[in-house]
Amino acid sequence: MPPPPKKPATEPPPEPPELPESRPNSAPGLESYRREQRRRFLKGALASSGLALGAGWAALAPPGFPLSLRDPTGELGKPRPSSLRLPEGGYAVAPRLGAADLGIAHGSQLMPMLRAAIDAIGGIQHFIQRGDVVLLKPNVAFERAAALGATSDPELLGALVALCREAGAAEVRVADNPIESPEACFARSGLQRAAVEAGARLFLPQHADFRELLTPGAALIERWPFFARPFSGVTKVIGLAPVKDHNLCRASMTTKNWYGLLGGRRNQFHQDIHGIIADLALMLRPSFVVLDGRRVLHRSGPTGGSLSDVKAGHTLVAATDSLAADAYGWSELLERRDEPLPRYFALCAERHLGQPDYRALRLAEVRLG
Amino acid sequence: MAPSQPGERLFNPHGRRHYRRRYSHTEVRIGLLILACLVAVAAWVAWAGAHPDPALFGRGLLDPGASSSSAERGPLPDELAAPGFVEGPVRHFDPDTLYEKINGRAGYFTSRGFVRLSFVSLGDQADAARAVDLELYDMGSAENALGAYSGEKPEAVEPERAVAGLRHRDQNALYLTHDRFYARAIGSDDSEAVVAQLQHLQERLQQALPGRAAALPWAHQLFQALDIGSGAIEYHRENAFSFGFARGVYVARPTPAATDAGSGDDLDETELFVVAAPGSAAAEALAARFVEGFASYGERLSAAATEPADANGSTWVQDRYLSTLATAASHGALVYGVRSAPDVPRAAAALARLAAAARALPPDTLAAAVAALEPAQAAAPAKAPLAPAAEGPESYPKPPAEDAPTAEEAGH
Amino acid sequence: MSKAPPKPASKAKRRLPLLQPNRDGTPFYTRTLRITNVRVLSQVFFFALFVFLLMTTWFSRIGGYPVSLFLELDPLVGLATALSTHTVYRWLWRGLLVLIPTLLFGRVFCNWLCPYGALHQFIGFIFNIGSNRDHIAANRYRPIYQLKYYILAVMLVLAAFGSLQIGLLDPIALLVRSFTVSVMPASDLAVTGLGRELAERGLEPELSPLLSAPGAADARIFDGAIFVGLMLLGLVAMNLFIPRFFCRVLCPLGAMLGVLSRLSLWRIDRDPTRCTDCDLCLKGCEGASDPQAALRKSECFVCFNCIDDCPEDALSFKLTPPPLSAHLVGSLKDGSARLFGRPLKSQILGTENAGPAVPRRRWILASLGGAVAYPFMRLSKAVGARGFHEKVIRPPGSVAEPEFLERCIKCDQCLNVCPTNVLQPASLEKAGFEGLWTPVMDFSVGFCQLNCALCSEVCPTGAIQKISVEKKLGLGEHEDAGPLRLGTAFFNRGRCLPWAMETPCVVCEEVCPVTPKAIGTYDESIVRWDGERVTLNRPYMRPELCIGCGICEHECPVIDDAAVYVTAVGESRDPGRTLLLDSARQRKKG
Repeated sequence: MPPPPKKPATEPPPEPPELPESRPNSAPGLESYRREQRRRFLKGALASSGLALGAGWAALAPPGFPLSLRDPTGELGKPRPSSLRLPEGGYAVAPRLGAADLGIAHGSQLMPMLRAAIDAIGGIQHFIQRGDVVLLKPNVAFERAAALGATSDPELLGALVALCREAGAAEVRVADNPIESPEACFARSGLQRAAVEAGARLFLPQHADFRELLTPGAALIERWPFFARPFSGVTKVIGLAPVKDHNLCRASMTTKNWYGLLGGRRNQFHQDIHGIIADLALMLRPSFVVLDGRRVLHRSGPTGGSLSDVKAGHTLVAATDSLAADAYGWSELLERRDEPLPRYFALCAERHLGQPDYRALRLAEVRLG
Repeated sequence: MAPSQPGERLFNPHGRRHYRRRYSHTEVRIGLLILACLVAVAAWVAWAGAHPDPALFGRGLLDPGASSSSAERGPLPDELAAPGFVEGPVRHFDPDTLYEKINGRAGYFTSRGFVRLSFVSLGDQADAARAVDLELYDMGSAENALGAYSGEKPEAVEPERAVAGLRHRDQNALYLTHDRFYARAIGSDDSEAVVAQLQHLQERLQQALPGRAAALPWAHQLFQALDIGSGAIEYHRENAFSFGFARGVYVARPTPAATDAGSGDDLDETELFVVAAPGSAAAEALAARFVEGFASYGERLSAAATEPADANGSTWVQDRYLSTLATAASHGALVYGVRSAPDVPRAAAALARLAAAARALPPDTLAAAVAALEPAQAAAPAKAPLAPAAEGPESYPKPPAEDAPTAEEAGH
Repeated sequence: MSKAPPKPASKAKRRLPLLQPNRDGTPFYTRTLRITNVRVLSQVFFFALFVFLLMTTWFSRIGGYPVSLFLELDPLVGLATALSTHTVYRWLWRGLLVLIPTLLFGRVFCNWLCPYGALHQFIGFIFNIGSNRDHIAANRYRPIYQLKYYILAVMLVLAAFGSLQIGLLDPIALLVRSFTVSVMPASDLAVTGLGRELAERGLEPELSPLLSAPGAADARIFDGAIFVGLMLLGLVAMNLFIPRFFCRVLCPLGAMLGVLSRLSLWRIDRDPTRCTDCDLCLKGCEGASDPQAALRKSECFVCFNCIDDCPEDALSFKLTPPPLSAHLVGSLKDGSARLFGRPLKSQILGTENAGPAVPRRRWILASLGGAVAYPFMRLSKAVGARGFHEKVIRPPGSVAEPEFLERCIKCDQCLNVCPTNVLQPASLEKAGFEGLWTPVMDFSVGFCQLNCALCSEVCPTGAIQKISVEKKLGLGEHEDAGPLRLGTAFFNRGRCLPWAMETPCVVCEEVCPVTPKAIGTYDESIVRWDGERVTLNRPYMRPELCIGCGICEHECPVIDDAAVYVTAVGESRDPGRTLLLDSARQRKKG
């Protein structure tokens, strides 16, 4: 505590006494004081100017210069989406000389049918090589038992996983993004069990698994959230779709199957479902697709519900052209050859994303026991 | 810090009391430097305030509902401002929003084929109160523009021939048609500056408005043969004489010199009218409808009470209240007639002269007149009234149909 | 002013006290223009400039004035937005103009420039009554003055994570907000009331220069003005208990400048050979910086009151004075201490405390607090991508919500300039704690003027990016991009006159400003319950065309709960909130 003031502070002070010079120029010890003052000044000035220059550079250097933060219009501060792009040409494999474009197998035994259909389009060895990471995309859209025909057949999934592994795939992945409750859909449809038992790696969608995908040339979904995590490192993609009636787009088969790889608010797609399907065909070109005509949901699709909505088709189709496979399914499996094709066929055809007249392609049809 | 005396005082009594005993000139110099910096800051703020960013105030703020549908000038030519004047913002109005600009007058224009109004105000730089407001009405066709023009022109004024229409000037206003445009420029006073600006507008608009100079409409030619000037001709695009079927009717009120029986009777309000129809049969039917319409206001005169008007033997109709006479007849695709004639001799004479002029009209002029008929005139004469709707929810119209999506999510 | 007795040996005439020369012989102007008086002039000047710029923030007055100048000069705004957005937007480099003097002289901003500081000081000056002893005791340093550093740490950490909350306590943002939302509307109310009273007595003075919103149709109203006003009043009233309470205890900008003051080259220096330890320097000390002992550089406001009050003239403003302990000869205790040949009068040798006196552990704990607060705030439903409030409709030109919360300093300048009063401070319910007092549109109060983009002009941080009217309306070079949409209008047919009440009304369709109109009508002629035949124009929305300006909601005659109302879905600032798949394409098709 300082000593009490010598006089009461509330009274005005008296006449000022003569004040001695403060720090006269030649006092003892002054030299070192001045030296130290100069030193402190230099240090302080250096630090201050360094800080000022740094702040000044960051604030005023033209945008684009290193370490410049200047943003006169606010453009640089806007978040720039880092878009994912799928490989150029998708995952398509060059067709094998002499192989058919559409392999159709009729029969009752799954594995022989599957082999036959795939052999017709070139054989599994042509598509899958040793070391490939293969992604299988089944339809797991609903929480329905497999027999109701609204989802892919778990047996088929298991068989295809086995085939891929036989061909030497390093890893087989199974992924889909149902609209709601992925765990329940995968479980009830039997696809989770089939995948796990066959030794595939199952990917259930999480929020952090999605990234924006850039599909140049897409009319409606040029930039859209995409289930990206299963795709990292993938070299081959195979689509697996059942044949289903659909009340909005009239049929849901292999081309619409990629719907399940998108995220975001897909309920908007209703506004132009055919345009969306055409964009899906542009977005992803698979190695090949398998259209499962063994159980055909011929009415009340896509959800179905009654077993009488499903009828047996005894057919499996493998194809490198999804649109042609769909056309075959529309015509022969849904038996609607007398009706006009849904609009997405024309949209895809005019963008050269497939051939809706499957008869113009090379077909190979096999009948097994 | 709570006051140490019980709270009697409100304000601090000590002010700027301080205790230092030495002052310094250096301090004063630094202080003055700082004050100079403050003055510089104030000067900069004032300068910045006087130099606004022009992009910030493109076209002024709106009242709710005014639509400014386009940032461009529309059909307005540039360089409309005379020396000493400066243009304000350009605004456009369509039939839905016209009333916001001209309130009740909007009906006058919308019933005459109004398409768009482009408006700009030219202000005098020297005098903030002085301005010339230019209203450019796109009326859709030259006939409509002339119709709007003639409806607003005082009867006594004889218009001059403009480059592509008619025009006349007032002490503080200019009225001008140019092809399909009708321009009104209204000055705030009749000062020299305003007159100069009006003159400039008169020249500039005729020079630069879109539209081709063409002959006045066919009816003007016809009436010219009867020594009736363009100033006396009105065009009723619809609802002439309050008849719903009467569309595209030219009505001329001849000057006293043009009537034969110039008896000095200043109540001679004879009107001559002509209208083109799609064909002879239609013209005959239309003429009959006119007579019927006139008859609804009075009685047909018996043939004995009148001299035969012309070879057609038209029936004169006398208005039961005004006792004026009216009739209509047709020649080819042309319907002509007389209305509000004071007595039979003058009515007949007027009709005879009009019939002669109608017959004398060159055929290609008449063909052009028929071709110029608006489609609505060529087709059904009047709009059918709104169909009454049934009661109940069925009366609600359905929204435009699309493939209605179902309630459930579209799956694969 | 001290009254000086007339000089004994001269025939000096009686002059005004103001013009009397000083007792040390220097002329009067060295007293009149002493540094504290210049400082007062500077404070008055900047406060007047501040109020002037706020009053000029109005469409008919704004011209080219730099109306957000004080917000741009505020270096905390620049630093915090640089942390949250990694950019220095537009005029925010002006913070350097305050930063550099701080690095030279210390916290000069606080007592020479800051209008809020001037307000606090002024209120304290005129209302604080007490003896010198009371004042001295009030201005001693207290540990509570460390609080502002914790607040700064929390806020900077939040900014680094992407949530800008400095606006809650930044002095300039706080004062702009308080003026905009509470003070100026209140003043306008008083002025218009005065004008009415005078008009009744036959006088018609021109009072519109005194209004902050001349030409506005109605008195300006703002949601929650009471809370903002009470906050201002409360903080200002605290000056009666602790002088400069806000500046010393709460101000994060002061804390930031205090940290930078460590490097300042000049400081107040005390000469122990003159100082008698009377503590009079504390009587007027604004910053509570202990000038009577080791000066706390981080707290000193460079107000120079201490220099004014020292009767021994022991205080001066010196360039990097080094510590004196090395130069002391003799011992303090037995009174033989000498410095540069002169005896020491003061018992305290220390003259500098570089500060701030905030222990490192407390910095770290405060920062951790900030880091934890971030997810608590950001995961609240109000600001998320799901469940956001449908009535949070942001001004045109705003960036998407996460970026908006990185930039908005809740200064409410946009509210100030908005000609229709449609912008309102968001409540906790609408925008959550993070979005408190940020601008949202309330179409029951106003609507968004079609040809106006003033809010984007005055926003200092780019929460509302600067846009031109052409860009807002999708004209000229922006035609392909289309207009900016604030939201989409919806019809509540149960409240709509022609839909539910057999009453003709078509106001919404008439006032829709876009071409073609975004509202169409189904026209139908019906027979009413009383037998009268009417034509009803039943409106429907064309969502591809609607820009969400809210004129329809504002003009709807069902004024308590409009039958047509705008909600945020479809706003173009956030692609995740679109209503339609590809509205531009559909509009062109139609």
